Amino acid sequence: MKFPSPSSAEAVVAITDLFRRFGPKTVLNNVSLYVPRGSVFGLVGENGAGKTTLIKHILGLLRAEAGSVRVFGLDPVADPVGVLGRIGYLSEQPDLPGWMRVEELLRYTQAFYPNWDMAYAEKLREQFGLAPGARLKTLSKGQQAKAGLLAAQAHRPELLLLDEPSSGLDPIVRRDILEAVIRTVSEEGRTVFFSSHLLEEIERVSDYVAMLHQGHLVLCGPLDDIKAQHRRFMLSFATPQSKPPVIAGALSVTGAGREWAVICNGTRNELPAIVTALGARIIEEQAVSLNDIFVAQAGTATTAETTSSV
Amino acid sequence: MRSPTTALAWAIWRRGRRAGGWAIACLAFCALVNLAVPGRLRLTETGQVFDPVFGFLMTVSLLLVFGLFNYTEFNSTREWNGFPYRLFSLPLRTWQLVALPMLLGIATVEVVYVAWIKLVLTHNPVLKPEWFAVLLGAYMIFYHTALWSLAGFRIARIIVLSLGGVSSILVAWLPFSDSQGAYPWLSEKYLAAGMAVLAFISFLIAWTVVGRQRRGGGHRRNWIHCLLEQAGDLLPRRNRQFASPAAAQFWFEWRRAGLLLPACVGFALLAIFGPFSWAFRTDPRSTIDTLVKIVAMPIVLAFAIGKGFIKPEFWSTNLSLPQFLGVRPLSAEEFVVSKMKVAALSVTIAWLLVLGFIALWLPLWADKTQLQQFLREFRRFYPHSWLAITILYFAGFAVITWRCLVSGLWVGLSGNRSYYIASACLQVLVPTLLSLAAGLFSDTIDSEIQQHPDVVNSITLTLIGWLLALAVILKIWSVVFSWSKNSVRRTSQYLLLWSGATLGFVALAILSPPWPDIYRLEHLYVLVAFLLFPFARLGLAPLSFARNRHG
Repeated sequence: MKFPSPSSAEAVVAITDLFRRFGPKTVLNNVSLYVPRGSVFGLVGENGAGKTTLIKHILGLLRAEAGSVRVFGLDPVADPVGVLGRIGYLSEQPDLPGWMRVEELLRYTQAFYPNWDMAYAEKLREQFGLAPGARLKTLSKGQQAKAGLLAAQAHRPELLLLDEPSSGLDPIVRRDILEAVIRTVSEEGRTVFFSSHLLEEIERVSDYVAMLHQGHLVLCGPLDDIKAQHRRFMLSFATPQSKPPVIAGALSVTGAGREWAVICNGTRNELPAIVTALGARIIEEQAVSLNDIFVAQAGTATTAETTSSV
Repeated sequence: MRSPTTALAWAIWRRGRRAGGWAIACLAFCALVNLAVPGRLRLTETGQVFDPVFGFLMTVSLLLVFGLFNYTEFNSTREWNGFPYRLFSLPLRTWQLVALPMLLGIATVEVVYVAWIKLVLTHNPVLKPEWFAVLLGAYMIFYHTALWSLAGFRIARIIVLSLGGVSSILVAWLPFSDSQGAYPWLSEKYLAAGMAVLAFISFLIAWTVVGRQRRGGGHRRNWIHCLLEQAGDLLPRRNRQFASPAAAQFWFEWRRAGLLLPACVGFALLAIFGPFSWAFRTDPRSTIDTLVKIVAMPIVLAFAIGKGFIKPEFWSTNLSLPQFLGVRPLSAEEFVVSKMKVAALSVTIAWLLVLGFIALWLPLWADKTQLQQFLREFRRFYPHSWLAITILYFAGFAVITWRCLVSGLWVGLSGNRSYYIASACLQVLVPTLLSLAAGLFSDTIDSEIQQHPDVVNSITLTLIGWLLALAVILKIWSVVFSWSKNSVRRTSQYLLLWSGATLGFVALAILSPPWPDIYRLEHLYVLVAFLLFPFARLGLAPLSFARNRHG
């Protein structure tokens, strides 16, 4: 499935027809997306959708079996030094060496990045409340995430890559991480790409959103456009319906009896005629949250796969 | 699964099924061979080759069973490798959690042992089979106790398990040591009872330790770790910035494994060779013997430590490149070079310790009577070059020590577990099988040499010469292939290094041929000199690293 996107010339990350399989399982199936420069790009998907696999391709930690991945116009597998030197990465699992101290982590990481900002690193360290002599293994999960974020940000990377940064963290730490993300973009115009299954976070900070479901890209584009295209319509039927009504173009239909809710994508002009033909009327139109859009899109994608396999 | 016992037994088997499969395969193979070979053939000299081979494979099979019951799990965040922590939430008592793997292990090892006796060792039965059965069962319990109670003491556990393995041979020999029956406590009956009591005590220790871990104890760093960390906190720490990414990576690798070889060498010198040399300071024969062992010790240790050193993360059983390292903007070449440099520094310190010990021991308390006689002969044979030969030999030993640490990098960094295990097995199996073959056929070889000395020598030496020449050609060919993907700068640098080291070995070969060199073997030594310093395999290491990094 192709989605409208900025031209690849403006893209910091350009992924074209990416395919990846692990054994018999297809993890990424012809995924194409472009991350515009200076934007916050949110990647959503359920557990096992392929988000981390996609991010690993961007980092060059996985080689594309088919398709291409370009970061800053470079192949991250062929030129890992050129690409990784411009990326700050925070992984989902805190994989920082437990034996290192905070100050050692910063000193070690600093050596790899000529743009390392000592003053900024120190400011972040104080802000995050990390004692320089503390060993990383003695830090809590939230503190380790902050240490990882510090190491990822202090060299002011052109691309900040966050893989489920707030997974397993308390709301205060999640807020700190999101604020760091916002600051990165608003103050310095850099690019952020982060994945999450917490859609409220994505909705708060993202300019662009891509939705992965079982390795397929089901949605991709500016967040505002996506939300504008998806609408929920409350329907009232003259007679109670024993099963969900079949409405062409509907992503999901929920309800019971006479009252039904329909989420549509881009078919709002055609919907009144369709609804009338079914003996119903539209009583309310609502905006839809990203969470509902995701659930509706994922459900539709699953149904489509089941139908095609039959 | 209908019971916790079945579930846990299935989990143990599922995790170690490969080791179990190989153990059964060894048994099955030997049983088939034993069945196929006629009994009368087994009584001939040729037939006697089967017994040591069966014995060797039986040992391998039993070791694999012990490996199957390596009932631990590694937690990287806590750096904890002990009793599987996730099992503590099961509705089972601690003694059940502890006893089940032990009992399963005992049952399995006894079944395998009995199968070997009944199916394979039928023509040359084991003496005192019940004693060995008791020993195997008891050591299964000791093994589990060491694994669980020393969780967190990685090095101590390795040492204890190694000493345990060696002690098992000595203990097994005890009932056979008193053939006259002078010491009743050395009889099989009393020793078996003693082992049973020790095994029960060991089980109680394991139960206590695992129980403590289950209640939250043992996860905290114990007092030794705390003491070491507090001592580390007091030591001055580096606060200078790194000059380059390569320098930072060198520091990282050094911190992980750089001090291990010098620490083990230092420990061996202080704890083993020091007291041993003092105890035998009046025995002139032991001086040369001890000197040989001291010189061999770093090489043997490097061979063992090298198995961990070649991995991306020394202390992990996972061969995949840690993501923390994979995202560093550093080329594969530089990662490999940093490991090689750490190995070089590690070997240098280790050999400085060895030389320092020798410099103290020989003048201060060694009996040098025989050593001085040997040195006099040595200076007589090589009057002009004895000093150069001595220096070159020690330098050569250091290079071989370094080779033991790094020559397997192309396998360890690849992330491929099958390659890694196959490589380690080959390095152990090939010399073992060659030694076995040499031992078995030594009489035949000796008689052939006595009957046809000139023919045997000329054929053998010619064959060796051709094989060495082929090996040198293969090495050069492999070098061209393996270094073709590396940068010109690094290739030139390493070529310089290889040239210098090989020149040293060639000089040694030319300066120190055996005297008299009746068979004129100097050319063979020169060919060997070209093979000693690793070249081709190290060129593949960056490629292996890149393959591991990029999935």
